[in-house]
Amino acid sequence: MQERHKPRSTAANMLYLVRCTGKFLPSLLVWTATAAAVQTAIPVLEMILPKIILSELSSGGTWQRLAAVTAGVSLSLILLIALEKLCERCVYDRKLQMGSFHLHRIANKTLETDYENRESERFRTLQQECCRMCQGNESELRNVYYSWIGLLSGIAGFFAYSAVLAQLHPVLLVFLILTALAGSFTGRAPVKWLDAHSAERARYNRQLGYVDLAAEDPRAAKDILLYRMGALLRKRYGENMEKIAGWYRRYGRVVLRSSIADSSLSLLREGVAYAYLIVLALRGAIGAGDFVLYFAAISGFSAWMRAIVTHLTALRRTSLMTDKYRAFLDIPERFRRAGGISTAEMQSCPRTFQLTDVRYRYAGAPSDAAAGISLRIEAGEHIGIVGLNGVGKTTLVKLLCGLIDPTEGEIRYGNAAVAAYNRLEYYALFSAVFQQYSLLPIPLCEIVAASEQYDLQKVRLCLERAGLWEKAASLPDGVHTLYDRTIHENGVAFSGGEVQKLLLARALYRDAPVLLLDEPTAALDPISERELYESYHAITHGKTAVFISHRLASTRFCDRILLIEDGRIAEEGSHEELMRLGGRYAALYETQAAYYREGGKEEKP
Amino acid sequence: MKRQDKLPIRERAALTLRAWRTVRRFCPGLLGATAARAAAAALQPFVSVLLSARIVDEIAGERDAGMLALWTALTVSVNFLFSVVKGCFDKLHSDRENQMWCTFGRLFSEKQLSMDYADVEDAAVQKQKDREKNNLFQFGNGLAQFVWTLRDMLQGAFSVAASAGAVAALFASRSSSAVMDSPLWLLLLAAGMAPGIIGNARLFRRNNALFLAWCGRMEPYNRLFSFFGFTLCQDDARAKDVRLYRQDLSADRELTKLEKAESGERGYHARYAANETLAALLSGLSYAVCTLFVALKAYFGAFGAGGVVQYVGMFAQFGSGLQKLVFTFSDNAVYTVHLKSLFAFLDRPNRKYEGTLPVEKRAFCENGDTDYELELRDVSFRYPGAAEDALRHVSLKLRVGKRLAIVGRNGSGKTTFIKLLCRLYDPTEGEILLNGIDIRKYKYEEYLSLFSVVFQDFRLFAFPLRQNVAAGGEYDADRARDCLETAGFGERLRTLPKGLDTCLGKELEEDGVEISGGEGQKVALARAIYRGAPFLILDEPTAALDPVAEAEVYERFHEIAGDKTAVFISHRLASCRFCDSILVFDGGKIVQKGSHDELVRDESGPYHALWHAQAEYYSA
Repeated sequence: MQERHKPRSTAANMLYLVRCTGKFLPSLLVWTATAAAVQTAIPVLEMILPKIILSELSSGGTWQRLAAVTAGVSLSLILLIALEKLCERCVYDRKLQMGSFHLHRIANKTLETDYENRESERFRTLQQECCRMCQGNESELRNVYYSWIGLLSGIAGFFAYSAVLAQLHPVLLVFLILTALAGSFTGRAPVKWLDAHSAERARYNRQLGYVDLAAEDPRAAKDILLYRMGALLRKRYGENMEKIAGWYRRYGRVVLRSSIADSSLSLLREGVAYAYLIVLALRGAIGAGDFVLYFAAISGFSAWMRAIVTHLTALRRTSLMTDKYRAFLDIPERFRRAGGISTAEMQSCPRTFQLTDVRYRYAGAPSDAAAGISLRIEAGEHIGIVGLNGVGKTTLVKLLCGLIDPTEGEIRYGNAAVAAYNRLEYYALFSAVFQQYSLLPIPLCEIVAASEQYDLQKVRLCLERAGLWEKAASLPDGVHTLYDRTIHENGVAFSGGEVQKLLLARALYRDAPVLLLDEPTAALDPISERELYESYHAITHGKTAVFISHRLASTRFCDRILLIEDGRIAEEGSHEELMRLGGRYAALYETQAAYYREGGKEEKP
Repeated sequence: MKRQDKLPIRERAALTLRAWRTVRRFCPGLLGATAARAAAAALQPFVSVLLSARIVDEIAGERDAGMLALWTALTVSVNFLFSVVKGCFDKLHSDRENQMWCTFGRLFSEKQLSMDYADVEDAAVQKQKDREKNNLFQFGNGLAQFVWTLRDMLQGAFSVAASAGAVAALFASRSSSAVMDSPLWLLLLAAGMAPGIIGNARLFRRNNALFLAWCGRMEPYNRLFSFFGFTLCQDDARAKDVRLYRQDLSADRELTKLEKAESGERGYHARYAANETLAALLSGLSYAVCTLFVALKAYFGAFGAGGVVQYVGMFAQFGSGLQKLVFTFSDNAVYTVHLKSLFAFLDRPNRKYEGTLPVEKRAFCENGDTDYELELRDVSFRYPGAAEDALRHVSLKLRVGKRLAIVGRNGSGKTTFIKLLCRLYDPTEGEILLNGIDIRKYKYEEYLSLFSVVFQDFRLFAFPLRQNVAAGGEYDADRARDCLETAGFGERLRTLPKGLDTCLGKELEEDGVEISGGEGQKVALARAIYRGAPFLILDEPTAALDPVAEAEVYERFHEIAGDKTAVFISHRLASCRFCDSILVFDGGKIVQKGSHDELVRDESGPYHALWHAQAEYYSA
């Protein structure tokens, strides 16, 4: 998955951004070009205006003519300035939309990517960098348009002013260009430094972001208050700020050095140019009007050169960012999608799972989380998975439902390996209630149906079976009520138990052939817990079901129980068989059951 | 939420002053650097124009080589000096401005840390916080605008101050035409500039109203965008469901809706742009009138070529400087409104810190260090905005050194009871007494220090393990290790590469270690034990533990609780057998009280039903 390539050229990346803009918001490109044209025209007119006035004054015409000419040029200037304002605004508003466009693409990638990619350090770092470059008013991807405007107008201005200066000695022009080019070399240093150190800043920002998040998390507030962690957080914050401040100080120094070098070059350039012009004037070759014009042209010229250099530098920086953005979007997906075996074939094959010596190791982990599991699950079987914490139960379930692929060994569903299927359609085979869940701030009926289209009757049925219908019907908008009060004013907030029922309703609606239930009862009181077990028991009829639980009571009713230890299946069989075996499962069961028997375990003194 | 359009001047001044003090406190040096940079940026063109006008005068006049050399040398070196100085001030400024946003973030986290807990759990308050934060970070409204406006104001002030003298000289100059020298021109030009300035201010206000309305319209979309674009993507816990239930499709749909909403705002953008363009035209016209005036004055001999260059340049400076100054006031009218709502949020009081009594043991110390008695007298409590009481008329005395179990169905008031005990909330009726005195009279921090709590939704941080265990207290490595051992984390601790210095989770350090839910629960337990407070409260301490680990916790319960008063909430009724007394909650009331044996025999009470609901699964 590690793909290190040479960063693409600035031109290539800029072309890419132009294409993105052209596809999504072509009017932005029009406004950008217009803005560039106007930004060139205005200084040119401002340069010419004094010359025109002075020429008129020295030509000895009428004051009416002077007034007319002055008014004419001034008005054109005003119209251009007004147009500039318009362009500025139009570009600003559209660039914000482009920011949303890019963020949308980043979100799509993040949500669709192979589950495994999420665990890679490179993915996470790139993802955060990409988000950062689209956010806020100083984001590179949004402000690239200003750089284009600056660069285009810089180049146009350069040519315009060169035309004016060409009337002077050509050597002067060459000299001006050479010094400007020398300036561009000094301009590289900050960019190189930034490239070398941006990872450092990203790290500091991420750390600071974490401290901020931790301090502001409403769920952490109780612990922060009671355990007096406020001081600790403040101290951390201060340390991080120091590191960031230090980074910016160092960067500032590099920029300053480069800017002083640039100023020195300007000094040289202006000194030579003015000396030349004055010699010309002393010889009587040019008058005051022309002097003013060439004067303005020379200083303006360096401004154009400086603009070209600055914006090229900014564009190089943006190019680096764009490269990361493209690299992120191009991160390969290993799971098959469109090319894999599809649902139709999946529905006709036998619904069995076959795991053969399956191993899985998490990135960077010292040992296998799944260490050689071989298992066959027949259609309609109810399997219980038990074991101590951290032995690999959730890993096994993740492997079964295709979120991760084994590092060794093979998992087959029906007639083919899981890897051969269209993974997105493979997921549709599973109705899952995980311990860590995701509910979206959308209408309840859409949550249950997991889609924009829903069958109201079926939604009601599922909510009834999950035991949530009464609550849902009592809401002001019924099943159309939006979930999540923190996002929607009229949204609904559910208690822990109600959330479990909603998750169950969602799993029911899907009506998939395989049911996965991962420790769903941790937060429920005994009566709700029993009700849930009973509903689970009812809904698993006819389906393949996989339960993970610590509460061995709930797995008692499974056809087969797997006791996982160190990533392997240590014991396997029905509850009665395992109790007769008298092994570790039996011991585990006794540990829990003892407390519930009459005269059970007494507390050791 | 409609915002006021304009505030009275006195209030604006007070808010601006407070903004000044806030920025000075949180971003030291920023304001000074801004001022320096503004000065350099304003003065550079002024000096440049002044000096070059002298050269032009020389060219149009005497053409003395010596004078020309002097003026040129001066111009070029002053330009160089200014650009170096400006570069230095730029550095100073950008050093600080880059951190400005980080330090603004600190404003909010500081507030959150010192807020009354009731506000933290109050959705309305949190929404207010999010709104203010969004307002500041997304649009720069309020504090950021204050900083930017300050920069513009200073630049404007410097420009006006520098060019005022030149402008006065312009009007004082004498030409050959009496018409041109008439003082009426002053009035005429002022009249010419007025529409530009007034028109600008008015158009700006109009635009700002448009902008605020737009913000209001986009707010719900922004919240959704923040959820689907960030929260959903970055929350690891959601990743499995996202894939299995194809939530990427919903996200794509919602984000597209947002994009459509944004592009649907064309009308707003068009109106805004039209206002700005009109404003630019108006100010441009005044500039044109002034240029005409200068040209005609020169025609009639008031001054030469250099004068033309100088005055045209100065007028531009003067005009733009004046504009910036005027904008300062209109800007101020706008951002003070935002500041007002920001400060309203930051000023939310925390009444809990009003108590003053230090917490002391009872005078007649029967049981040594942990001699405290907590009593609830007829306590009722209703969450802010809730329809019903969460607790009703609860009366109870907590004896020292006892073990108390609390059971009941979800939503029966157990966790609320705990939150009231440790004074995260104050009761709406009745009182809670410590050693006979209302707990509101005690010093808040000292009262809190009586409790070690492990909440059901406890939080650990990505800091090193030792900081998670010792938290705000003094750090003693041996004691931390002992507490971790007691909590059952000892074996895992020995496998950690950096021992107590290992970070929990990878958010801060890359070599941090991810720990499971059950391991986290053990660390949280160790944290509570380490604190050593006289009241130990555990809310579902074994929920994420497997049977073996759970049994260990029960067996070591006596060791963990020591001679403290221990309160235990659990759905695992097995734990009740270890407690001296069990409280059964139902509908916010304590309906049963007694030992396990007494309660399980009472078939009419809820305890019996709860117990058998679990026990029946274990009947062999």
